[in-house]
Amino acid sequence: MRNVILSLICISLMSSCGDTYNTSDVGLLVPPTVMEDASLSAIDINGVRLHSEAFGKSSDPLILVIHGGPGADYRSQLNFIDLVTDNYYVAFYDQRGSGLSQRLDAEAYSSVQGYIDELAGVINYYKQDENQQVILAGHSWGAMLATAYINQNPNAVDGMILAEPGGFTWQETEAYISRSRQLKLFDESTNDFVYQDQFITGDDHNTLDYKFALSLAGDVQTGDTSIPSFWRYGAVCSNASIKLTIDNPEQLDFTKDIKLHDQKILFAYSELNEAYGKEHAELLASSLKNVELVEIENCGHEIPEFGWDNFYPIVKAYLNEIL
Amino acid sequence: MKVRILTAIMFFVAVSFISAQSLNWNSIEKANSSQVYLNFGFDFGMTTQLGFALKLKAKKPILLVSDISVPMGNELNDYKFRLGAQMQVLSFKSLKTSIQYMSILRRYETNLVRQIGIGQMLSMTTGIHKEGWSVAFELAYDASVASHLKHTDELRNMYSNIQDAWYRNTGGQWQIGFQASKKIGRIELNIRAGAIDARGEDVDALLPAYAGLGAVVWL
Repeated sequence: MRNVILSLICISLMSSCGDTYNTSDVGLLVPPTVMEDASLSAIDINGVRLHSEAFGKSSDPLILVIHGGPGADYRSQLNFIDLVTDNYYVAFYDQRGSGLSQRLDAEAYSSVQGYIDELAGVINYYKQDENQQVILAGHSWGAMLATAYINQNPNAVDGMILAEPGGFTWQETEAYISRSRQLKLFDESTNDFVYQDQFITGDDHNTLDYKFALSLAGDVQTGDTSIPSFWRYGAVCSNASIKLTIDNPEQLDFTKDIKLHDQKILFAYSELNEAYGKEHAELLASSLKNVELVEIENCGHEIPEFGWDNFYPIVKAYLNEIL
Repeated sequence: MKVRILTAIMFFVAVSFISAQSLNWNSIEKANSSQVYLNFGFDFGMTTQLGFALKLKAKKPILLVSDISVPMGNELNDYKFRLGAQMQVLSFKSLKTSIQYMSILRRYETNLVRQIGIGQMLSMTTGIHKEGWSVAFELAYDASVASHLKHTDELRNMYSNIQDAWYRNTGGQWQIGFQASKKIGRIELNIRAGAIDARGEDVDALLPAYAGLGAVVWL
């Protein structure tokens, strides 16, 4: 009996032989951030180093692109660079704790105001002078953040492009999330989502961000056929921000003064995202004063990446109209 | 000396991991045969587990145990295979304590990654084992000793320098819960449930709990 038990123990110990790594090691499973890789383009906003870059002539009208999440990054938004040829200055940034930006402890994501202040800082960084026109282009959570900023600063920008914001209140957002992320316990994709938890656990950003990326294998009901492009997800940022919202739903209400913004807003929703749909888009659009609601054909939630061919001419026409 | 050994075992159990099959040691002591068991429940996904336990002749009852579990879905590319032994270490009237050691081989595959994990699990179960029924407390620690990660082109397109390799000491989960059983003829029905807590300061699983229903059939 003793030999049997010893053999079983040996089988397990064999796995510790040979070259092995730690999931927490920098650069093995997720790319380094601006804190570890000095070659990455970065800006410092409110004491946090953000991965950020801009394209085009800095004196042209500024289009600041705001990615989704919280926790995603701007890689899936890079099609907006096409607007450089239309004489726009296009800037991107990864929000704090997301993409290749600096990682912070969970407490750093304890208020929506932190994201709004960060956005204000990025606008100030790229805006060359007071007369330069500024347009915010936000996707998903990024569209919510753009709306939150305008709710506090109704006259601060000259236009806004919103692609499927989840909601402008927690009630709207919760309704959308519950439709788009249903856990079906007997489904392959749901089990793919939760089964990996027994292989890897961790408390460091490298491990947690890697696990977050793997969770994309779980199917979501947003009409996309493949995962959006990304550099690196921010797991702590994402989880802390969601917890913040659930614990303090009153923080997520961007409708109080949004109607003071009277510039026309382009509001896009996708044809294939059944969890969103025209009805949800119309509900959100009813909070806005001056809005053009458009359906983007042949794509799901990831409009700026997978729906760009149809989205781009609409964006271009909108910009030509308002500027 | 005996007390020291038992204390050492209890300490080892206390710092190790679990997922014992539900067992009434009162039945095992009296039986001369082996058993097959079938469990269905939530264990990092909705899973079905089929196992076999061979009773060895020894002073104290010892079982050689092997089982395989697969999560629900339409692809048979994820599984957990376990091989180990379970033995009774303490017995006072109806109060019985057993420990179980299992070597684990896990596999998981999606469109982004294929993971092969080697782990080990140590568990302790203690409770009342009467004729025909039992209730027990269980504590276990499941250590992921090493995991081999092989990434698909879809994920490599996102990060070209991602490393396919063995990663050591990739995880650990505590399980704490209860189990109860009721014997009906040759079949012992059982239920298990409990909570899962990731080691140290590690972030807990998305659904940090386990639960299951099972049946043990004496051959």
